[in-house]
Amino acid sequence: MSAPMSAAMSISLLVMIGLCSVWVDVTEQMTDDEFEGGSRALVLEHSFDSGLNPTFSKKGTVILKSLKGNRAFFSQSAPLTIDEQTKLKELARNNDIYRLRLQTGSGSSSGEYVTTYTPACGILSSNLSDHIWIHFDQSGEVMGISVETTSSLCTPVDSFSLRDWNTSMEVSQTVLGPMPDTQSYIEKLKREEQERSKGQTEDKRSFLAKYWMYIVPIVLVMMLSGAGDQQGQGGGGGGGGGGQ
Amino acid sequence: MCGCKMTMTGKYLLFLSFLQSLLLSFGLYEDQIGKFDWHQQYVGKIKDVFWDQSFHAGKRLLVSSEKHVLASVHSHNGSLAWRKVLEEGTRGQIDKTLHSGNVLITINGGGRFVRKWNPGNGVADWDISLPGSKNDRADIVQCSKDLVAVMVQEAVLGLETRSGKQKWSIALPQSNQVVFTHLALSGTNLFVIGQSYGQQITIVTVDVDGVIKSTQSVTAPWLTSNTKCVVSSGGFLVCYRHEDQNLLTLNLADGQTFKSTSLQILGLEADDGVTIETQKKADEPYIFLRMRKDHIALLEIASHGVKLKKDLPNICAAQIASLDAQSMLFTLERLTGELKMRAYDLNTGGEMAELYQTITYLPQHGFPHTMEVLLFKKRDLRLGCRFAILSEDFSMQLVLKTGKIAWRREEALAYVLSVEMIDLPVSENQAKYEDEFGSHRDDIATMYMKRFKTQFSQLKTYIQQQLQKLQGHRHHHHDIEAMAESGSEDEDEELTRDEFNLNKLIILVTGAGKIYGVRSTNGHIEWEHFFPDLTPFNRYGQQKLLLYVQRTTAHFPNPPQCTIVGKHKATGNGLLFSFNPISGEAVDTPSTGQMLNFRIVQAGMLGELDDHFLRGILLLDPNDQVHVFPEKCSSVLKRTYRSQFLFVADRDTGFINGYRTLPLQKTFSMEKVWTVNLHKKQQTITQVVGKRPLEQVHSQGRVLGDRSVLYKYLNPNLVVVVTEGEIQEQSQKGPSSFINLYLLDSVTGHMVFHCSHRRAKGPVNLVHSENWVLYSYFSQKSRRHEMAVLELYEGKDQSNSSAFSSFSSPRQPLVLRQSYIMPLYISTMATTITEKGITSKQLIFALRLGGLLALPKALLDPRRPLLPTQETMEEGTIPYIPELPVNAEAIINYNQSLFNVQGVYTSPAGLESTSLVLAYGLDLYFTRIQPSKMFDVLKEDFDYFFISVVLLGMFVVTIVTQKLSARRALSRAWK
Repeated sequence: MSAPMSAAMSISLLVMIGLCSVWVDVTEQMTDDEFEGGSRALVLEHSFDSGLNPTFSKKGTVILKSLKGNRAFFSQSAPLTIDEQTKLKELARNNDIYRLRLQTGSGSSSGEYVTTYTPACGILSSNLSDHIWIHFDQSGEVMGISVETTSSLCTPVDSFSLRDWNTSMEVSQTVLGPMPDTQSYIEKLKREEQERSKGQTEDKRSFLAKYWMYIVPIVLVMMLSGAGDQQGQGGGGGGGGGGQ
Repeated sequence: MCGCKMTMTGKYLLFLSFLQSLLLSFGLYEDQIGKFDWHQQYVGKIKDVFWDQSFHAGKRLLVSSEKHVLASVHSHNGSLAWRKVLEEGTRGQIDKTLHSGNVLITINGGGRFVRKWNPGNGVADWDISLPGSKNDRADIVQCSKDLVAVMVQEAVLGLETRSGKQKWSIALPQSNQVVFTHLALSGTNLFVIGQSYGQQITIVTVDVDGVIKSTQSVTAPWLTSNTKCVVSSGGFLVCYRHEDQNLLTLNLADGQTFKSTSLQILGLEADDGVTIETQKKADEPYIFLRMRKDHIALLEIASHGVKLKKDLPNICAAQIASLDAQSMLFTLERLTGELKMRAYDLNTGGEMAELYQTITYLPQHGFPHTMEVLLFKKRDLRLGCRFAILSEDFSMQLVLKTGKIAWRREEALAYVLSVEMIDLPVSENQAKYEDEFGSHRDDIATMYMKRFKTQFSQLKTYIQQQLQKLQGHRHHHHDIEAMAESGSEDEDEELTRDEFNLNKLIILVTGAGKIYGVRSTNGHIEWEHFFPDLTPFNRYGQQKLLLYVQRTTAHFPNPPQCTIVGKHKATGNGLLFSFNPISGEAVDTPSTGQMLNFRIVQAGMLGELDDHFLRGILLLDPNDQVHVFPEKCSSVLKRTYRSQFLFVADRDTGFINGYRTLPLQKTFSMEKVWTVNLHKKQQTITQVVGKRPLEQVHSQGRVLGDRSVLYKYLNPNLVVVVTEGEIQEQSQKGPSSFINLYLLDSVTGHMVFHCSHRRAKGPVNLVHSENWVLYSYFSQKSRRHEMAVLELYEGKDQSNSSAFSSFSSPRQPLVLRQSYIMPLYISTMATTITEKGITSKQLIFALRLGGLLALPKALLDPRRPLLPTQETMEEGTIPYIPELPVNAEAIINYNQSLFNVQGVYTSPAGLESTSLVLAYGLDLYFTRIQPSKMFDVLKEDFDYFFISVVLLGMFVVTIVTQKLSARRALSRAWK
């Protein structure tokens, strides 16, 4: 009896440890997820230049409320100027690209940027509506940025709406990789074992207790037939009995 | 309720039995061994070679290699008598090998282990462990028949040869940053030489009973860690000072100062790479000074300095050997296509004409650098010699009979870096057939003539084949014997494709700068090339030589073409070599390779073929200029530059930069368009794994239990970036390591998925294929190896069924993930690949234990349910069990253990069911596997006779019954 006990103990210990680790992970993520002052602002820059050394200007600010809750909002700094609009159309005509960049590193001093691009046609044909992803690592540092438009095809578009950005934001953070799910497997085995052991305890009843419903009729039949035989054999037995 | 449960368990059992049958299906019958698999064992670049002088005197050679191998080689055919593969890492490296008479002792791991081996069977007689050296310097000398002295950094020990028992031990003085480097025996004294760089040389004299006699130091301010010093016989320390090209000698017994001799005075001109080689076989204080690859000088050391004994220009290898107190000098000179071996008597200086010989020598071995001579007296008392030659290309060759190389061992094959399997060309007839349809401009008459000619020649070869078959059966036995003797059956057999395209030509590119074309049928070398200047790209200890297939065999009459991209040894610039993989002939580049005038930062292939079906190679230089090789393919880039992208992952900064192509007047430049920052200060990029180009995926989706389809996310631009790092955690003592995985779209820079494993450690092995990524790592938390799998799906709707674009695809596919416990330690893994991708995939794990384990992909499926339901059973997923099953039948190399497997290459065969597998590392092992059994070929024991009898019988019965029924109908009609 002690062996199953210890097994059960160890299993519960395992579960405990597992729970603890989960708890630790959660708390760490929580701390990662908190920003000073409740939110964090990132400056998003864009460029309508083509060539090897494009110049970037401010597109707007990304306000991050929480990484885990995927809560980020974009606020535009200024509507697109006429100059920028013509540049964008020029880019689209040349089948060129529209670029975005975001500063990485905690301090503003570091000149490290992550950049991305999308065909300018897509921006134009979707009337300045784009969807931006920002990828964060587990400590909350920006690793990458990417942008998508609803279509990347070059279809002619009316220019009246080329003023305000309709930008939606999405945030992704590094998730924990998969781990072998030994816990639930052990639980499953345990459950199966329990079911089996339940079956076995039933089996442990005595032979008679288990199969009385079969034994009784057989015994009855045998008794009855035996009695018949006795009767058939004549009075010899009966006589003996009488003698006693 | 009860009945339902019963069926559940029943189905569960059914699944288990299904699993068993899956695993059992790889078994091999005993008579199939060696039928389609072969195994070649190598030892690696040989450091020391000795003639075995024990029981097998002259019949075997003992070798120790750079790859931690000690082996004995049969001298008659070059096969291995025994081989000991020592530990990986620094623990197993062989520092010194001592061989004399019946004694073979090695020092391993920088003096950590001293082991005595039995030269006859390779069994270790004894093994002792020592504290080891801090600087991995250790030395050993034999003092007498039953005493060897071993030097490690801290001490000198006297060991009994028979038992390894320590007789005496003395501590060495540790001061002045002294590094003890040499141990030498002269007379009855042992000299321990210590170097203090920039200061002095310390000489500790010890007698053979382990008593320090004296400790003296000699000033040597010129000494640096690069100074080459040796101890010659006769007790002289000789150093070469590169700065002013002086040789400095010191008599260890009584010398007070170094005597210096300038090379100019000796009349020698020195290059950059002057090395000193000692010789052990003569008692006179001779040393060899190697000036160049083909210039050696024999010097004699006297108490007043060095004197030139014999200048040996054009000599690339030399050795002194002695027999009966007669010392002889053997030299090798390389001429085109042959070697000249000359022997000189060292006492008289005269040449010994009876030993002179010329040996045919293939130019693709480079210069020989070492020879090991065995001198013996023939029955008629004349001198005879045998010798082994070690060459630049890591090969070892043996001359047994005068003028002929008996055999060679291509040890470069233990350094394979890249592999491709090339289809063999079609036969001549088939080629004509192709030719017929290949040209479009012929009129009817010429086409008719062509057809007639083709069919006539087909008939002719058919008759010839039948005749040959008749004759061949008679001579079969005789042929086999002849083959075994000459071993040259390859030359006769033409390289043509077989019926099922199972036989290929394997191209092996090795780190030694040698390239081989090897037949997949038997592993014989078809052609070889050696490039002394070619060296792999080496970053963070990962060696890479790129091999590109520019044109396959499918485009007759254009010949197939492959290109190797590597680095020039001296300049670091790119070095290219293009060749026809079937014949091995150079194409487009000179036969010594084409040197570029820039360094290669990144290389890739063009997306499209040119008019002659050639796929160009893109090379990126440090100035972001892109070059196309060959030049003629730049028109393709001009046409398709808009869809040509490259990316570079920089390990030094942790940045990954994506580039697009921009045309500039005549050239092309790469413009940086996306950047991802993986924060170098936290982690280091260890691997970047893309998909295999041109991989065939048969099914676009996966049918689920409810008959809906889950569509696969098949992004050809997806790459997996693995990083490893350490973080300081508050809760634990010391840093804990982690691994991160990033799935990046290499065109847009979009991070499709990223995940992290905490308290996990590399090395990470990764397979990336179709829509899944499988990787293994070591979990420090659970202290076990784990195998995680990620599968990417678009979902129940497909965005675009015909083409994939990184700009318009779904950005965040469904990532299913699961992890399993790997019970065994693996060194590398790969997945099978088949012609059309219909056959289910299998994963091949190279186990450290020596096996190749093949497991079906179904076992590594993230959709394996913990509790099987009706729906998952319908789908056919196996219930989840955390540990992966390891079955002896799943080991595809049965008992042929493979050591230090570096990689596994798989290639499709013409048969859809079959995948060809080559495992490379210290050994080469080739086999074929059928992941879903052989569903497209009839079995060998298929009963043709029975089936034809049944068919015939049915036919007869049909006719008879037809007749009968007709008669009956007639008679019924009459009624």
